[in-house]
Amino acid sequence: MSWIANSPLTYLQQFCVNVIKCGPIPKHIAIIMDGNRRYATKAKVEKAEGHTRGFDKLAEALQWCLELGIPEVTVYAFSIENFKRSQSEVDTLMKLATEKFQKLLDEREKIMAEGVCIRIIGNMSLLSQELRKLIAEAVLMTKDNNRAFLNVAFAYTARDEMVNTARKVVEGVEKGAIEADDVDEDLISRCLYTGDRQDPDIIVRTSGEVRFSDYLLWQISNSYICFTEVLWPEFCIWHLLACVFKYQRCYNDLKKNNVKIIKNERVKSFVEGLEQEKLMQLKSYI
Amino acid sequence: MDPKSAAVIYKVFYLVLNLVFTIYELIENFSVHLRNKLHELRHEFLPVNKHRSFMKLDKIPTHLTVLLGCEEPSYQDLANLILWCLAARITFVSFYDYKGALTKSEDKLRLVVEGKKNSTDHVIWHDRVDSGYKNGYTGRKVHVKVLSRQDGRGGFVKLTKELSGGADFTIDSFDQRLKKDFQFPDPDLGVCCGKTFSLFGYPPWQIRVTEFLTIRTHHNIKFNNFVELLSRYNKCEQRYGK
Repeated sequence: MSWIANSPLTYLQQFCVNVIKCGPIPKHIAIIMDGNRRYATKAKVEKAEGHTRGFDKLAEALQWCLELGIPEVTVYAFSIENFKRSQSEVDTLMKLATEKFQKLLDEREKIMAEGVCIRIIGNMSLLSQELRKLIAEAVLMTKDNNRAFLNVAFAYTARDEMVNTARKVVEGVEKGAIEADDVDEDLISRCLYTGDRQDPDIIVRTSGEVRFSDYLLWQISNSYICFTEVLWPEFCIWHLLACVFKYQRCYNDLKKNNVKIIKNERVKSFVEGLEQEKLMQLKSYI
Repeated sequence: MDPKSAAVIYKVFYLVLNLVFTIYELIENFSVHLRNKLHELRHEFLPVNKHRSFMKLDKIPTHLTVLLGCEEPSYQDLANLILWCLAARITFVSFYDYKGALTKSEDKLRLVVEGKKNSTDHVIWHDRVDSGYKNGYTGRKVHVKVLSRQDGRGGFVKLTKELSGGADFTIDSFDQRLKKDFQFPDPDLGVCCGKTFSLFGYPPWQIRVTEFLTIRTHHNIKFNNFVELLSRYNKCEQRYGK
């Protein structure tokens, strides 16, 4: 199955999507797609099949988000902590990722026509050369698309991201590119793997777990939290609509995500420098 | 159907949907209120044994943190929470009020707690100014701290600013430095109050493995609600990535 599903909604679903669209629509949803393995046990299929169905569900969820008018989705695909799983499971997951990125490149026309920009957030140095190359190609191919944004957290943990960011910022101060006084929340936000993207309005975690497991800890500071019992492969459009509706119900109480302010020319050129560096790094993987 | 009248129909349905939910919430609030009243009545005749309530639990959080969310602090109820934590042997309790009201009126909370607690119990307050605590208390003790928005992302920014001079740091060294500033271990259980479930800028570094539960409100919270929270926490299982 490809990256964005194309199965038409039923009349009832379409109607409800239109009703929910009367309220404020989030611009960015973050998802922890949890429960693939528990689903596999429940449905009596192989673990690998559970992960594959999880990926297919992502493709569907992306379609629903586009129908709802949510332009950006960030998903937790693989945590650095997941490397601790059995070798065979890690291999399966890496193989699945390799297949899917290859597929993405094969489907070039479709993805470009949809205008989807794909970004990977995470520590790419932990991945195999082959996977890194595929990812870099996909990211570079779609980097100028701006109709929809899909960020995939892969080999990611928030603490790893935060410390790497602090390191870059400290280096910047030491080299004199920025001054110590320039270091503030906005600068850190801007230098994270998520860069200039806005923070998520909603964070969803499936499968009944009620923690964030080192995912986007900085970025979800002001997001609406939606923990749901359903296992990820069983997630359906009604769950998504319910999350958005709950968000709408307390919209006025939520702190809105402010734009990250770049306070002076120095900071601006520092941030641009980091982005250039990131781009060069990706190019070097190919 | 032309798009204009379709849009009107959607809007009407959206309003009706909201109305239905508002009514549902009102009924729910009322029934909870009723249930609490009944519970109170029953327990007037049957006093609860606090220790027995905790005996069924396999694990107790070391650090419980309460996120007030949009709610105004209720000093009596927060003081009760501190005392129940003492009884449950929870050693660290913190309150996060992003609006900062509690930081300004911490003394008020202290007074209420001092008035309520047993003389053998020790409540150790961690102020912004006086951070070192004295060891050597006998009897039960609990550490209490009030957090505000400045402790959030700001704590991380502050540390980044301080690090310089060829700083070669890792997640662990960063963690140690932040822990020193934060004084408390990372929270095991976060309790979010009110209907808006959000962290409102809670310190991001510290919540990696925190389990977050919600309560309708902390106003008028009852002992059995507290036990319920702990037993929900008791059921949470951590996998640490595996």
